[in-house]
Amino acid sequence: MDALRRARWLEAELGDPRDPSAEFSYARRVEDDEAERYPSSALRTLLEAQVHRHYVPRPLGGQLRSFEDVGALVRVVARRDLTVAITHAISLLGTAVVWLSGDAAQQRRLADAVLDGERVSVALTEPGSGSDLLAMSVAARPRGDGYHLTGEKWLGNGLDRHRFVVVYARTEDRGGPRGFSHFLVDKQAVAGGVRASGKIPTLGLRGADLNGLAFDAQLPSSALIGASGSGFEVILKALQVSRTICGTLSLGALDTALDTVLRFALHRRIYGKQVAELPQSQKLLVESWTEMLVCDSLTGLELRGLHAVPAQASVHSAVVKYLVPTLAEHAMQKLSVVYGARYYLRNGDDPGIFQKMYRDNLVVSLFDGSTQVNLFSLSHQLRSLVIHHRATEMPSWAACAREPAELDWSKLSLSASGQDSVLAGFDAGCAALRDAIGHEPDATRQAIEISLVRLTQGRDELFEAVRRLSPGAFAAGDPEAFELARRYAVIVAAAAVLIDRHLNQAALTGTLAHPAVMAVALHRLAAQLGGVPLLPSPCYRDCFAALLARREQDGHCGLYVTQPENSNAVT
Amino acid sequence: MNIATPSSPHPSPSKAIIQHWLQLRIAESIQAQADDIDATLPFSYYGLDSVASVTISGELEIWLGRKLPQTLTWDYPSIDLLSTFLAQV
Repeated sequence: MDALRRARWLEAELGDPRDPSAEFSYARRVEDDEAERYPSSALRTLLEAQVHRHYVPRPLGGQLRSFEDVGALVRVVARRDLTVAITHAISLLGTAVVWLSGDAAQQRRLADAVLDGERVSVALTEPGSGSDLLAMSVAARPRGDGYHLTGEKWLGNGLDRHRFVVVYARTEDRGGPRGFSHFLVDKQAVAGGVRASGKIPTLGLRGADLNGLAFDAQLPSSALIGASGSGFEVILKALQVSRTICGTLSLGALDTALDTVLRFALHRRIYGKQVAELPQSQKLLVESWTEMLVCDSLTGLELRGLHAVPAQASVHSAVVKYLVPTLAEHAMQKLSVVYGARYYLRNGDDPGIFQKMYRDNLVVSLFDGSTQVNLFSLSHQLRSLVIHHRATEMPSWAACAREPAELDWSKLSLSASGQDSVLAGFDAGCAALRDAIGHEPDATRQAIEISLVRLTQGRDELFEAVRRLSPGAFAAGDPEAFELARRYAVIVAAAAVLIDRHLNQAALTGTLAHPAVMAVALHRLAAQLGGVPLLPSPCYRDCFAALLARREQDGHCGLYVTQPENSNAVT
Repeated sequence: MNIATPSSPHPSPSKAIIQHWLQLRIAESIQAQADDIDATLPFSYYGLDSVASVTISGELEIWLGRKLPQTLTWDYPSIDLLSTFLAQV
């Protein structure tokens, strides 16, 4: 699996995060954070490793083969420092706009800039407009041979620092879905016309350079990206890609949080025992672990889905962007319970990395469309998804050994037209799991059966509720529509896990293909729907044994084994 | 109105038929009578934002049995404009 090879290579390049002398050590990353210092030296390390080449499609001279590769790389950086991962991956959104709608000259220009190591910012949001993309007021009006850009953008990553900024601006005074366009602004070329607000202080990501930009600039006509009026449609599609990648950011943070707390639990003794020997600690640890595995599985599958079924990305990206950061937040909260007082300390046994990951991950639910925005947009599609639903075989594209097709950007679509091939494989996934666990001990088999029944019932209840709810309730953003969208995301995640287990069994031997692990993972998802009893304690104990065995393999707890390899293995 | 099993698709529905379908669809979404829906007002007047209105294009596709751009309601943002366009092509 190529994505894994790339992840192993970058792991080796960045080194052991517990070695304080390494640039990408937890200690150094926390140091930058405490000082609210921009992580220049860490970014230089990524530049030397040429990670940015993976952001540029191969036809333009880069190495972007699949977004699963990109996600694997982002996750490796994220598990060391989300500030660096987010600051680096910011280029993915702005470039997506240009790959989607830019002309050949713009694509060439931006590809060259990124390949040279430039990062690209996006100026989308404004102080007074929340998440409403049709309320933005920064305007570009025809003037002379080009456009006059005026107004103030706010809360963008690197707006002050990066030379290239993709600006989303109103091009029709009346606004509306055809009233906005993108402009590729080279700040060097409009030097006098751009004023930066300075760094905006934040709860997490303290070293990041979040700021605002005020424009009063004359742009050449060649700055317009795509057709005038295409901005709203294009940004919605570009966000489908970046939202799916966002899953890997939360996964990196959760990975480190789990590793940190697990180490603590294995060494710390209380009441005459290791913390990790206490049944309640084991339960919390394996719940967090299996939630991470679910997120890993879902995100990986949907990154493959971007290539295989891009027309469904409006649904799949919303599912990932809602569920993964939220589940990661909950999992970290549980880990903080095991960590006890140490989670609250900034000078405890770990170098402060737990609390940094905990704080930093909170931002992932907010950007690229908040949790609420994603649930709302998903809710609009529920009626058509339910009406068109037809159970099918599991989608063969989900097999991770398959070479991904080159992403066809033109196939990204505002609506999935009722098609969701992951959800369609849910019943087949349930059947395959039941077949596979026939000889397992009764306790595990029963635990799995209870969750499968609850999830299937939850799917049926959801479908019924969607049919019953009036279209007006969806249009008006009724709370029930949000709740139904949330449940839909949970069922899709269950389908993803079942499909992944069946099609990629060999890769998941120590994780989701292990029945005790699957029992807890499915229980976590079924619990999201309510009405499931606790698992019998042997399930948690067996799963905890699997967690330790998984960690023995390469020192990590992720879905796939990522043993560091010779750094020459991937070029 | 059940969009899954529409009354048999008219071979080439007239503007009036399309207009009536859209009025029923909007009326259902705001729980009003079809007669109360003004065909000349923009979809947004009836609470359908730009993302929600994309779903109408999908429903029209099924009903009319032909492929339609998803941004149809953006380019023809009222019942009147949309039904005129659909009756022509």
